[in-house]
This record gives sequence, structure tokens and C-alpha cells, in this order.
Amino acid sequence: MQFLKKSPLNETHISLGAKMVPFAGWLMPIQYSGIIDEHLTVREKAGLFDLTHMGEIIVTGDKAEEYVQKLITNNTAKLTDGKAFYTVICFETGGIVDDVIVYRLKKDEYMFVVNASNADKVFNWFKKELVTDVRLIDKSAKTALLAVQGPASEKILSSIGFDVGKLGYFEFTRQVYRGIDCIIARTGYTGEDGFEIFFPVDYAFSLWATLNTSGKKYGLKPVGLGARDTLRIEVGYPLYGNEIDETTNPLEAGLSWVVDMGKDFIGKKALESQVNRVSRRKLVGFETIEKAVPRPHYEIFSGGKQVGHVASGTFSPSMEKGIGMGYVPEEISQTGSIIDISIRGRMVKSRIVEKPFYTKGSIKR
Amino acid sequence: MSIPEDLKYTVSHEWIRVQDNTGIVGITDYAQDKLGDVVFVELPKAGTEVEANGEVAVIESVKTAADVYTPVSGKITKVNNLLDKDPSFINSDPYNKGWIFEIQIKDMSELDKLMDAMVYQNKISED
Repeated sequence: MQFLKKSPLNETHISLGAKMVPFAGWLMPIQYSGIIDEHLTVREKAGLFDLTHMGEIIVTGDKAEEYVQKLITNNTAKLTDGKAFYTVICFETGGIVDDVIVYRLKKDEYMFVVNASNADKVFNWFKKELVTDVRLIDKSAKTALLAVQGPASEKILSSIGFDVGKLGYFEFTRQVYRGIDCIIARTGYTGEDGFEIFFPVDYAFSLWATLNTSGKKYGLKPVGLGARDTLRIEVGYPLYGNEIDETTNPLEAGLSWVVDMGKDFIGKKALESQVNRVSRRKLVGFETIEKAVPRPHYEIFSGGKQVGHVASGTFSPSMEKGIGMGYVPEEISQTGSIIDISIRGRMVKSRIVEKPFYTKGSIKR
Repeated sequence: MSIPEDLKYTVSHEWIRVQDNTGIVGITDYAQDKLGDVVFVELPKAGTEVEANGEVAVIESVKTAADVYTPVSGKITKVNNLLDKDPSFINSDPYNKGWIFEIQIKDMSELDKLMDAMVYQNKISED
């Protein structure tokens, strides 16, 4: 029997009318007012997310930078104190351990924000590769994470006294807010401007209540994991377990922008041999031409032959059509190519399109 | 959760409203709540002959897809084309504007196998 972990906000979510579901070993809210309403609220105003299930790992010590460089595909040389980036962590095979955001806290101190489903796996992988003069601290159980996402986010945080106006995209700052030691980052997973706030778990209720109450006049609503998924699909962001996993590599997943082949890292050799491979597959985005909803695991066909599976798919609340992502052979991966998705025994014509599907987000780059 | 007294219910969460030998069919308030936002309904064709418990329609919500089964055998005489334009009637008004199809009932005795409101209420409270 597996017991589900509960967010410190569990009772709060229930009192707000949330439907709670098991997710990555946690009991989390999938929706409050409804996925479409929550989705459009984030696109037009702002949403408040409880992401306390995410894992936080601190890497610290004299050799921290060298150690982090070896673990990740992106290059720590791009980071200064107060800057963060997206990257993947690979196995020797080039397969992906996890996709993470790395925050440089100090010259020799980094914070990794990892997927809840991978938190233990990543920590064990880090331990296996550990060197002397580096210390790992798993802060997941002690850290709460709330996100405010949407065009009104900056206004909401400023209105209650957070100092975030000067923060650029993927920058963060440490602030003591009403006695709460917070890390506030201008990051997110929705394609909208927004912030993620990390702070000690004991203050979860107090900060959630402050944000939810003060945000109301700007149209803010609580948003669950259901809309978090439709929001990230619309902007073509991968989800570990769907688009990427231990059997996919970052190059075929379209993540070469976070892979620096000019430096050394675990998995580099395997990726080098991938670059020159003849027959490759590629992660593409597609939209259905007829009215239909593609979903994970549905088969993708081309010329009557099955060529892949849908990794993620949904009805797009912003564009009101079926969209999805999946791997197809490189030969048919060009924008405009027509594929068929087998949806409940029916072949549904779909067109390969550029990602992101949704391009009108308020994100500040 | 609304469960009108004057309807009959199936274990798969459809309701039927019977007048003479005609039935109007939809899904229950409980079912729409479980499905979440409905975005698309694949309706049957009027004129189709169907057998009790056969799949006749598909409801796609943001989260999932669900088959709709007919509670009784017969001929489908009308479908709710309003759902093509606004499938969310299934969420907002499952027992009225959210109806799915009308059926000419072949064998009235099949209705005896369906649940009344109280039995259905007990069933969903066990779920």
C-alpha cells in the first residue's frame, strides 16, 4: 500500500471545492471551478497554483559548480547569482533522468527544482555521482511552492508588497516577506508572465490566503493540475513521463537549446552518436483538422502505417481545437505534413504545426 | 447533486424521461461532474436502430472521453444538435438543455430494469 503525501494546503483546497486526485505520490487538486475556466483565467488575469509536490535539492560546496556541470546538459557559465535556467539531466545513454530548473543561489550553491515523480530518483542519481567537497540537501519536505501565473501576476505581487518589478525572465530574488524567507523567481510553466515562490512549508496557509484574497480584485483564482497541463501543452512545454523519459534524448525532444555540446557532461557521448544517426524521430506538435480530442497513447499513422504515439494531447481551451505532441520519423516531421491520429477507432486527420501552439502569452523574455 | 424523481437511471449514469413510448436520454448530474468540462459530443444519427446498453454517443471532456449507452432498445428519432454548438449544456443543464437523443422505445418492459431516483442515489453514494 502506498500512502499519498498531502500538501499542507490539503484542507484549504477541499474547502475551496477542489477535486483532489493522486499525482506523483501526492494528493493534489486537479480542478476547482473547472479546467476551462481556470485555464482562461490564467491567460486573461492570473491563477494561483499549489506546487508543493515539486522537489527542491540544494547542491553546495567548493566543487559544486564542477559537479553541477557534469550532471546537466546546459552550461553553468550562463548563470550568475540570482539567475536560473531550464535544463535536462541525462543518463550515460542520453536518456533523460529529469528536466529541471537550476537556480544559482551563490557561486558554490545551486537549487534544483525537480519533478515530484522524479524527486527520489534524481536525489539518488546525484548521490551516486557525488564527489568530495559537495553536499546535497533534499529540502523537498520543508519547502512549499506557490505559483502566480498570468498577465496580472506582477500587479498582484506588487500590491501586497513583494518587490518583483525589476525581476527579468528566469531571474530570482531572496526576500523576507512578513517574516517569511522567500525565493521569488520569474519562472513558470504556462506561457504567461508569472512568479514561483519557494518558502518554508509552515507558512503555506498564510501565504496562500494572502495571495488568494489580495489577488481576487485582479481576477485571480486558484488553478489545479488539470489546467496546468492544458496551459503547458498549449505552449509546447514537455512533461516528464509524456514527451520525455529515460528512453528519449533531449535532441529528438527538441531540447538541443539546453544542450551545450561544447562542454563535458554525463550522456554527451551518447548524444554525439545521435547527431549523426540517419533515421531519427522527432517530437512534433499537431492540431486536429476535424473536431476531436487527441489523448496520450493514441496511435499516430502516416500513409496507412503506424509511425508513433501521442505523448500529450488535449482540447485547447484558448484555441478551441484538438492539439497534441508526439514523436514521428524525421522524414514526415515538417510543418504542414498531414498525419492521422487513431481516435477511438476513427482516423482523424491532423496537421503538423510549429510549437508553441499558443503564441499570445504575456511571458516577458 | 441533482437527481430528479421523475426519471429512470442506468448503472452507467444515463437518465431517461419517458412519455408514452418515447424516451429522452442524457447523462446525470453526477456523471457530468465526474467528467468535467465537456468540449465535444459525438451524436448518433436519427433513424439508427439501437439495442439496450449499446454505445450510441461519445462525450469528450477536457480530461477524458466517455461512451454513452442507451438505456433501452429502439429507434433514435431525434438528437440534440444544440450540443454541436454548445456542448457545455451537458454540464450546466444535464437534465434539460443537455439532453442527448430521443428514442422510440421498442419494449416498454426494459424500463423495469432501470433504477428509480432513490436507488440511483444509493448507488452513487457507494461510489
